Amino acid sequence: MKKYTRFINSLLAAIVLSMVTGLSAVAQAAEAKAKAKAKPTELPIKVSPYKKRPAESAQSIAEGRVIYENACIYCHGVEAKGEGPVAFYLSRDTAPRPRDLTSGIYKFRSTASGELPMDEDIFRTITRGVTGYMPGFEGMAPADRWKLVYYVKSLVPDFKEVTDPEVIKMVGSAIPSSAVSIRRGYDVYQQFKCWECHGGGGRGDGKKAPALKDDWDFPLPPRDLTRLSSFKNGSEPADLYRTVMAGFDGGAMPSYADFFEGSEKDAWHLVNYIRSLSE
Amino acid sequence: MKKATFWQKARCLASSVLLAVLTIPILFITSVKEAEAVPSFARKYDMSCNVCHTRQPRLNPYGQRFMENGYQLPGTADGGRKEKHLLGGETNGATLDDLSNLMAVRLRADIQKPSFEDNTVTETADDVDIVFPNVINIFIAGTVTDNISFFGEMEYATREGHAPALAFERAFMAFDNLGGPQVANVKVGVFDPSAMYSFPTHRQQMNPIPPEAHTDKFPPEINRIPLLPLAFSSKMFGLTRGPSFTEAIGATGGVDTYEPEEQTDGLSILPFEPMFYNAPYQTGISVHGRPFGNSFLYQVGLAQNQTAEDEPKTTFDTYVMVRYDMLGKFSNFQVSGFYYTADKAARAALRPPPPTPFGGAELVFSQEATDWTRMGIAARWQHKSWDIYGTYIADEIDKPVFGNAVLDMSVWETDGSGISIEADYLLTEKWLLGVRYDMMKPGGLSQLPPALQAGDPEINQNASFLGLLGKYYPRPNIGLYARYHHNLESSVKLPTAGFGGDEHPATNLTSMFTVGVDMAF
Amino acid sequence: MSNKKLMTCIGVVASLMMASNANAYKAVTVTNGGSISGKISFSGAAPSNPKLDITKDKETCGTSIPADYYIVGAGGGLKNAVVVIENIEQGKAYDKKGKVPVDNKKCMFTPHVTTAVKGQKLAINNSDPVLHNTHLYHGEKLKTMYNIALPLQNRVIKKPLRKDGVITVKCDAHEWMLSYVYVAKHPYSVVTAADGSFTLSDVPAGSYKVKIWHEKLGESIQDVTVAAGGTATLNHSFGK
Repeated sequence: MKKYTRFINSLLAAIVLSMVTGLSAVAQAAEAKAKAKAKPTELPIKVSPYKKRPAESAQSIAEGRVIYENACIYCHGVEAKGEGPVAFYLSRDTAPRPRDLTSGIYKFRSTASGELPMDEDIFRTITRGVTGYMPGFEGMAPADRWKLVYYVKSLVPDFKEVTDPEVIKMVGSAIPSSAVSIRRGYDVYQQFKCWECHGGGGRGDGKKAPALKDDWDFPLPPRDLTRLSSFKNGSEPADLYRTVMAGFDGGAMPSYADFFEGSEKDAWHLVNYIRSLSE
Repeated sequence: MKKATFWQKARCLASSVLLAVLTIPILFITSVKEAEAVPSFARKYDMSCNVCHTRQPRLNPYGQRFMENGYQLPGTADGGRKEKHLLGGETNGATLDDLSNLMAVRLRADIQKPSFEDNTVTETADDVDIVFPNVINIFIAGTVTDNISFFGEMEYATREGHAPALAFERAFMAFDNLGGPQVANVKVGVFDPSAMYSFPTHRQQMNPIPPEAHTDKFPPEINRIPLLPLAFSSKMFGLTRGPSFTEAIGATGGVDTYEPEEQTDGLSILPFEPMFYNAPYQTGISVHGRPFGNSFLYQVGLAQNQTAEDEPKTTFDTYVMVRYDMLGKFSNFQVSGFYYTADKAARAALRPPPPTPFGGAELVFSQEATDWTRMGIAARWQHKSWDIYGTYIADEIDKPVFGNAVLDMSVWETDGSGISIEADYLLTEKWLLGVRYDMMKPGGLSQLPPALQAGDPEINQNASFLGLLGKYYPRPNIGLYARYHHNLESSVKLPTAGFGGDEHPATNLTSMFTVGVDMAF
Repeated sequence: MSNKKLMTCIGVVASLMMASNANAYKAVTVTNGGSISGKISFSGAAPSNPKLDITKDKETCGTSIPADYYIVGAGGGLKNAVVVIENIEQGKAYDKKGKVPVDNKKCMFTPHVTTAVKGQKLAINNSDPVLHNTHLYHGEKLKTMYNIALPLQNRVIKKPLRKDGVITVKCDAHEWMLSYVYVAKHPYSVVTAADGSFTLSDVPAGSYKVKIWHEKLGESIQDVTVAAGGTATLNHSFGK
């Protein structure tokens, strides 16, 4: 009898333990989800307020398609695969081409590498445009821009499955530029080997630069960091932070989030260094 | 015509040099910003030229829609907004930045080398014309507020032997999206009526070469015909603008030379000058829109003109155009048709040579001015790096009646037609190759009355040209080009007196070779 | 505690576990499991193994690297093919926290082909002193899954494998680098050895469809029946 009791007790203990572990795992997941949902207010998006937006519904998606046909179709194409008539005249044989919106690959995100973007990311891209290539639709009513966001999301089925992509934590904020900060940023630039692609002077002429291509096999040279106004993701400190952390999906720029984990201040120093290159 | 005096030449040269010297700092200042030094719209929206242009000046479908929408982004009514500032903290001279979002400058300079069968009055075989800069256009365009836009273009043209001319070419206001998005857009002012046609006159052309001709005389003295798409031309021999222009005859000094972009036109209507719907500019009003979805475009308009009657009246030509667009994979196909009527637009005339029963070199006009109708169809197909467009345009006039037994034995063709087709191919990001075929079957005066004939009775001669173009764009807004035009009719011998030489103007120019630069800032 | 309460406890826990893992592979104790073993080979003359030029970082990488698309041993054995059971719902347990190593070494990925179970993690490492970025693509359409910079030597980055399928591993900085991770929903997948041989053990008795996958030669699906405690033989030869 005693043997049995001990066995049952240990079995019970094991069951209780696994329940506790399981439940705590579930609780952790819920907490993480809640944290992720709270993220939007931390993101430094200076364009139109996000609070008022139309409901995401079949109707707003249909209206988004109509707006798309008036404003976007010439570059992004009838099927939104980046096959519009203007695509060749914009970039005949180099990147960037107008994005294939059905591919599910997004360049400008506040989310981790390989993740889908947040709605606000797509909204920001439509509002600001892409320097040199895509006009910014500040002049379009915000409600219309949101309908475009919903339409763009409707083209990629993954958005229905993944409602909470892993968001990049913005730890800290921009550090005022100083010689000390720039020096630290320079050290990070060297240590993290940014120069191998971007070049010692940041002119995009690193030894790895010539062979870089995007996911569609178009040559995509690394950015000349001395030309701040040409940064397609934006050139405010928060924009650069986001670029370094999230990387550019669809291109060669990788995410450095794992290497800045725990020392995010270094990322802000790196941002200051990069911005100093264009002075 | 008199050759330019030494001082005129010197003045011309000096102003050319001065302009050349000024362009270099302008180039430098506007090149401070990243990537391409970009004209005003590109600066305003922070985009490359190629978002709107196939290669400047030709428009791609997005640029066409931008223009249709009154220089607002298609699908929006974003006029009057503060210009989008460049991202980042670059410092720019503030005043230059703001002005530069409204204003753009286009500079053209070239070396022209025509070859002739026979020397003309002003041009000899083996003449080489070098002028820098040749043409400077200054544009100011933009929006005042939502759906109200404006456009102004001044042109300063210098050519050897001519006094430099500065003229306000096109200027108009547009009121857009009246009655709802894309329902009706109204343009008022001086503009190219065919701006939305599938083969527009002004924006589509690469460096047209105007004629060397004197239209103050009748018949006009044509020393060199223009190298413009011949489908746009009047296609009629023997027509004039009417008796009210006859004061120009016999003027001494300051000869009235026909320049296609000048406000004052001479007496004679050149068979080769672009007219009516396809004139580089007309004063008038036009309404266009797409009320039935995105595919159909309509345009109706009125163009102000003067009749060719003895007492000229202001008249309003009417026109209508319809266009259908289809978007496909990397492609755009459009087809359009127009119909244009002009009341009493021209007057046939004959000049009997002395000695005649008419007592001297008098000009006899037909009894009535003729109505003129023009219709055309055009299509454009753009696929990946190909851009192919062409138009067939036909004109019709009434048979003139002189009320005189001798003169009424002249033979007149009431129909004229022309076709122009161009194919452009973007070989690489920087190289554009083009070929254009033009053919004109003119109408109008076909045979002089037997009493007045000298030499071959046939005056009417087809004109056809083949043009080859290569243009290199080191940057999207700078083009270096070489063009060669070959006259496919030059072997036809048709000596006809009165056109300024022993050769018919349609056959005299055997070829033209041009090398030039075309830049926009 | 009474037996009744114990049973209820177990019942509750079991249903909880089942509910959270609906439609997924279930790890159970496999009693009297059989195995599938055999040899994957290539018939015909072995294709040449081209040398890929190394265009940068030659001090670290050398001047050329064999492509290793086809590694055919003596007797036609095909290395680096993946043998995986397609349709198995439950079977042996596996290490859910397992780490699947992908190493950047001398400008090549090591190993060239490996397998993993969905939910496990990749342990990505850079053993070279130069910058590598490990760019992982998922599926046939090569959709970017991760693009991770690895500037520091010998610092392992872990990334979860959330989807099953073929993962193509490349490096943007060194365009010749290539490897594969075959992710299945279950642990019954294996890479063939240099002589083409493989073994899948502890397979519950039953009939299965087994896929043989090779990076260049495509796939082939075979029917295999495993008897309790028995060994099923699966040989397959890719033709030319």
